[in-house]
Amino acid sequence: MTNTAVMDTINDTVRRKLTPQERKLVNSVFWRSMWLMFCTSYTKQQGTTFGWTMIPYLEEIYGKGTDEFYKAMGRHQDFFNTTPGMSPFIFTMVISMEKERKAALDAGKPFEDSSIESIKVALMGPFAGIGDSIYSGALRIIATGIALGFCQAGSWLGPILYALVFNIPNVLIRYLGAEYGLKLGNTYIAKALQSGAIKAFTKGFSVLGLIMTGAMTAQYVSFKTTFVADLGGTTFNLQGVLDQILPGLLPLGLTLGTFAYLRKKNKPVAAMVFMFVASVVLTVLGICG
Amino acid sequence: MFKEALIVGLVLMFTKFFDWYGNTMFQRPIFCVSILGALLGHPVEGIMLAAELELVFLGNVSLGGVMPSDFTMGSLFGAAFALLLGKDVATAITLALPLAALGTLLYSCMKVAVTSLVPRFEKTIRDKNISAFKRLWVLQFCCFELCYFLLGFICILVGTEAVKAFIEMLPAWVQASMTVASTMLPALGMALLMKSLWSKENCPYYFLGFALGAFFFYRNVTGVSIAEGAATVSASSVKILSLVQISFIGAVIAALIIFAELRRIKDQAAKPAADTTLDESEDFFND
Repeated sequence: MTNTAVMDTINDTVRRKLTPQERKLVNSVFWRSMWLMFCTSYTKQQGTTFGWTMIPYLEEIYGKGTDEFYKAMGRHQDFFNTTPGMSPFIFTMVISMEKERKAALDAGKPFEDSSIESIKVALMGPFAGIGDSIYSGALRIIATGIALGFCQAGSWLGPILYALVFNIPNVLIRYLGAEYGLKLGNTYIAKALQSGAIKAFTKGFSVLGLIMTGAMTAQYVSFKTTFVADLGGTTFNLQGVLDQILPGLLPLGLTLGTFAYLRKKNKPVAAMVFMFVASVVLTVLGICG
Repeated sequence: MFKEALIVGLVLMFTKFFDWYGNTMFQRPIFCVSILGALLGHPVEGIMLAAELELVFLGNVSLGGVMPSDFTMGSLFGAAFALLLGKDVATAITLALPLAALGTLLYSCMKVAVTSLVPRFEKTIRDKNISAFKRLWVLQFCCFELCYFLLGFICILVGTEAVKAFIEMLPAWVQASMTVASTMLPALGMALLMKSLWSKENCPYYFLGFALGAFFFYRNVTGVSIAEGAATVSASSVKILSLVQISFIGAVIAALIIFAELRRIKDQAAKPAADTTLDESEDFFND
């Protein structure tokens, strides 16, 4: 099947209406997936709660307390980590695959168990990529940007607008994610992954995220020097000179330096300690503050 | 102080709940400090404090399970002490920064505790005991919430006097260097964000964003003074592109890239079929 044909089939699948039963499942996954971030561990991140979320659905598919249920629970406890807002999509898709598995077993056909695990692993990375750039890079910054001015003026509109501007898209992404995960199923998503459509969106949102990160570096890393020297009658203002070279030179340098360090040695806590020490030294020397 | 301690404990507990539940972003200082201020009876000061603390921690995001600093705990305590002791923003920031760093430590300990529970979770499934699995899950959830409630409650109940003495004892340079640190720390948050977004072919967009944020100024001439025969013009600059406006431009660029990529994919898919027919340009000229 060519990619255009895949896209057409996807369009047909997306337009179909959900049955009342499926609607109930979407609603249920929407609410239950809210808990995903509790019980995150170093070894499995969200893995344990992924299993916890699956309990009622697996019980419905395989029956309470059956061997197949416990086997499935065992499979769903492995490492899992993605942007929580993107998880409803993965949940409904995995549930529909488990249903397929049950149907295949009932009909006496073989079913590759690892295909369920591999689709989870295949999706969580790209989804975390899109998700982080949507949630942290774009949505939160836009919500904060809108609200900050109101807050600085002491208006209640600030926190209210912040909550709404972030959470209306958040709820929509979660709900529609659950619906589309169910509608698309695993076969189409595998093809969409191959066709590269997901890559196109990840690239677009990463670019938006990078632009916003750059803008935030300029406007919110307010690190500057207050060093002023008296050189024989003329005052030498270091920050003024730096501003003439390039506005925002210090924030940009500091951010790129930290980034280079984090890329080399992934130790954010060490970078933070260094910043505390540096700020004390610079203040005592009279260069900053 | 009992009532106030109860309020801080409850706000900390519920904020930590909504941090995880549904990822509502209510854990950001801009929201939770506003709520705290209102409950402590200083609504307007609370909102303004919320804005300042949000600016300090704006770059801090927890990504991929790494929490650079527990800005929620830090800013809630910083704001609570500042409001209860009648101090200003600088005090709130001075307290918030080290407390946020301590908060990360506490969170790491909790995560270690949860990690040690993982084999137990696995065992309940091997033993085919789903109710034990559910019980353990509820237990760790309750411990997590209770821990933060008690922390907020006890620290305010016992600590307020000590914090007051501590702040009065602090030399001026400590507060000054904490304010400097608050201008440096957002860079760490930005660097963490960049780690997840950076790729060689996309990196110019970071610099585009920086340019949009940094280079567009109004220069307002605010005063002219004449001293020793020379006129000096003092000017202040105001950034004219807000983040919302930059995100508008960014969204346009992102849309252009997505459309171009989708088009490329479509063309690539159509290519094998097109090879057998005439080349498009030839078609054009034949017409």
